[in-house]
Amino acid sequence: MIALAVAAFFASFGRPQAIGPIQFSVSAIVQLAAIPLTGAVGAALVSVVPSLTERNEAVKKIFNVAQRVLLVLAGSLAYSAVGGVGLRPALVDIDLVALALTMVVATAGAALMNTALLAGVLQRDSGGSLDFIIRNVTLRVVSSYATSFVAAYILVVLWSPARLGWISALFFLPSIVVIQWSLRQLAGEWAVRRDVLAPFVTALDTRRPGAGESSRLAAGAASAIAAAVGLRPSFVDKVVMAARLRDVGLLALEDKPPAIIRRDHAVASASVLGEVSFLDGSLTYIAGHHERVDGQGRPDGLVGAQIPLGSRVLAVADAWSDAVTDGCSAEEAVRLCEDRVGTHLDEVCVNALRRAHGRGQLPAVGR
Amino acid sequence: MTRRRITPGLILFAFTVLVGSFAAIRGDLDGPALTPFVVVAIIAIIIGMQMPISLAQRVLTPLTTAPALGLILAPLSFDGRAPSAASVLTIVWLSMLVGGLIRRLRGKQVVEGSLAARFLGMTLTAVLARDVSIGDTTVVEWAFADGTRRSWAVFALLAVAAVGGVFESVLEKAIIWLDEGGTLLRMVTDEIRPLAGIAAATASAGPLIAVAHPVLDWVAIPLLLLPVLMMYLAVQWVQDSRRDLEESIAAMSRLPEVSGFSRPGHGRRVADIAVRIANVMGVDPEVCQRIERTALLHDLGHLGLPEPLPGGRTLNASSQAQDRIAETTVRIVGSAPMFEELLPLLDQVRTPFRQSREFGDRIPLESRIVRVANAWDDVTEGARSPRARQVALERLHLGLGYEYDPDVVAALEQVFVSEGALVV
Repeated sequence: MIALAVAAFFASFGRPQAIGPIQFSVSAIVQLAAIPLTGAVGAALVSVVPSLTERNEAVKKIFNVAQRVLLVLAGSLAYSAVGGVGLRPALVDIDLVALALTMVVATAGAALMNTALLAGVLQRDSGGSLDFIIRNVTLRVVSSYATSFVAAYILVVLWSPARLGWISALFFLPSIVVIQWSLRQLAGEWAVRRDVLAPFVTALDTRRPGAGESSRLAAGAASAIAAAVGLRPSFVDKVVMAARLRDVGLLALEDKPPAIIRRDHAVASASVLGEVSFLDGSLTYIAGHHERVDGQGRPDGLVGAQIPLGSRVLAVADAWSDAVTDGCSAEEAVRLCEDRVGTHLDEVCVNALRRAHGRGQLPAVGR
Repeated sequence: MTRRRITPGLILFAFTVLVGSFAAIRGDLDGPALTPFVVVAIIAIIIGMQMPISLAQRVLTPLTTAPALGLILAPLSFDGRAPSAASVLTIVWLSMLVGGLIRRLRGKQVVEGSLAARFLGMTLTAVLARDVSIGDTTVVEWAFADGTRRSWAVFALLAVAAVGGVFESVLEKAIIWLDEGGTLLRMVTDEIRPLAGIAAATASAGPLIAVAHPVLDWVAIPLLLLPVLMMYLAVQWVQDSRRDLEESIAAMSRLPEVSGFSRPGHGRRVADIAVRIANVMGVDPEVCQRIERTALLHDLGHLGLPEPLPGGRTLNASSQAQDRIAETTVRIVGSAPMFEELLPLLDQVRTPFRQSREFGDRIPLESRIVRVANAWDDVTEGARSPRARQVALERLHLGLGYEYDPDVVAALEQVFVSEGALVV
C-alpha cells in the first residue's frame, strides 16, 4: 500500500488538466489499481494522498477528499459485488480475463459515482437541466475512465501475476508521467486554440468598438445552442470559434461602401484567417452564416439543410446577439429569432435557443 | 537529374544492411518461430515505423523500439530452444525494412541514418541480452529462471535496453555532427531536455513487455504500448500546438496590411531581416524565436490610428503616433495570455537607442533588432536593388548611436555584405 501511496503522490503532482469544462487527473489510475491490490480500506487511504499536494482552502480539500473516497468505495463495492478477489504479490494462478471484467465493473462503479457527483455540483452551480448535464458529463467521464482502467489493469497485472510487486509501481511511474504529460499537452493545445484568437477580436474591437462584446455574446449563445442541438464537443468548439470570429472579415473591408461590406464580410474572413489551418471548419461556418433557410441569403443562396448545421447555429447566435446588442432584452431577442423561423433561421436551432434561454444558459449582457 | 549525395547516414545504413544480412544468415528461423507473440510484435514494429517523431534533429519511432525491445528481451522459445540474438534480430530487421518500405510506398520519408542507428542500438542490446554469457547463463536466461526475483530481472533488462538506447543516440548524433558540424555541448543539451521523457518511457516499455509476456502472452504488447502511444499522441499535440501558434501569429501579422495600414509583406520582411541579424549576432534559438514574433507583431498597433500613416511607415511618425501604435499593439497582443513575454519587447521597439546611452534605460536586444529591421524595410520598402539598400544603410548611419544600436546596424551590414548584396 505504501508503494501505491507513493505512486498516487507522484500522480497528483501538477494540477489536473482542464480540457473544456472538465478536469482530468491520472490519480484515478492508482486509485483503481488499489481496489484489487489493497481492498476497499486501503484504496480509500490511497485516494486521500492527492490531498497532501493540494493547495486549496480547507473546505475544498475536505470536499475533494470526500469525493475521491466515495468514488473508490463505489468502485470497491462494485468489485466485490461481481466476485472480484483481493490480490497479493506473486498470486500467479489468476484468470486474467475475469480480473479484467471485475475491474471494468469497479471502474464503471467509480465512473457512475463521479458522474452523479459532478452532475449534481454542475446543476446546483448553473441551474441548468440535469438531464442535459448528465449526458454531457457522462461522455467526458467515460472517456477519461476508459484510459484509467487500461492503465490500472496493466499496473495490477505487473504487480501480482507478473510477480513484480511494488517494483511495478516504480516502473509504472514513467507511464504515469507520460500520461500526465499527454493530458497536459492536450489541454495546452485546447488552450492555445482558444486563447490565440483573442487578438483578432481585440483588433476588430479597436477599429469597431463594441465588436468584442458582440463576439462574446455570439460565442456564448452559439455554445449553448450547439450543445442543445446535440453537437459533439469538437463541433461545439468549431462553432464557438466561428461565432467569435464571424465579423473579423470586416478588417479586410476598411473604407468599403456599406453594400459591399454587407455582401462580402462573411467571405472576407478567409482573407484574414485563411492561413490558420485549425480554423478551416469554422471558416466554412462563417462563410455560410448569412445564408437563409428560404434560399434568399448570401453568398450561394443555399436552402434549408444545404446550409451547414454550424452555419445555421451561427446564424441564430448572430441574430440573437445583434438584437441584444441593439438594446432588446434576452427574451425579446429570442422572440425576434422565432419570428424569423422558416425565412431566415432554422427551426431546430431556434428551438435550441429557446431551450437554452429557458435554462439560463445564454450569456448575460454587459458583463 | 540531381544526384543524391552520399551522406554519413547512408554509409551507416549500408553498414547496417550488412549487419542485418549477417544476422539473417546466422539466424535460425523456421515455422515454430512465428508464435502469436512474435507475429503481434512484427505487426507492431511495422505499424510503429509509420509513426515517427521528429524532435531535436532526431527521428524516433518509439512505437517500433518498444515492441522490438520486448521481442529481444522476452523469454522466447522457438521449437523448445531459446533463440540466439541473430534469430531475434533477423525478425526485427526484416520487420523494420518492411515498415520502411511501406512508408516509402506511401510517399513518406524514411531517414536511413536514423533507421540504421536504431537497429544497431537494438543489435547491441540483443547481443548483450542473449549472446553474452555471465558464468554459464545469458541475461535473458537468468532473468526468467525460476529462482530469480522478477524485480531484479526487470532492472537488468532495463540496463541492457538502456545501453542499446545510449549507443543509438550516440550513433545518430555522430551522423548529424559529421554531416552538419556543431558543438558537442549543444548536441548533448539538445538531446537531454526534449528526449529524456520519451527515451525513459520507450526504454521501460520494452522490459515490461518482456516481463509481462509469460503472463499475458501477445496481449502484453498492445497493453504496454498504450502509454507509449499516448506519448506519441502528446508529441503530435505539441507539434500541432506550435503549428497553430505560428499560423495564428502569421495571420495576425497580416492584419495591418489587409486593413491597408501597412505595406504588403512588411511584417514578414521585417521578421526575416531581424532573424538574419540575430543569427549574425549569435543569439540563442529561444531569443531568436522571440525576435521573430516581436517583428511579426510590431505593427499591429497601426490599427489604433485614425487613419494609415503615409506608406505605412513608422520611421517618420510623430512620437504621439508611435506611442499610440505601441499602446494598441500591447492591448491587442496582450489579450492572449501566451504572448505575455512579448509585451515589454513590443513596447520598447519605439524606444530610441539614446535612451539607453544617456539615461541607462534597458532596451531589450529583441526590441533593438526589430527597430533596426523595421527602419530598414521602411526605407527600402522591400526593394532589393543595391541602390535602395545603400540609401537605407546611409539613413541608418545617420541615426547611429542616437536612434539605432550600432552593434545591430553592424550586424545588418554584415548580413548583406556577406551575401554580396551590399558594398561598404
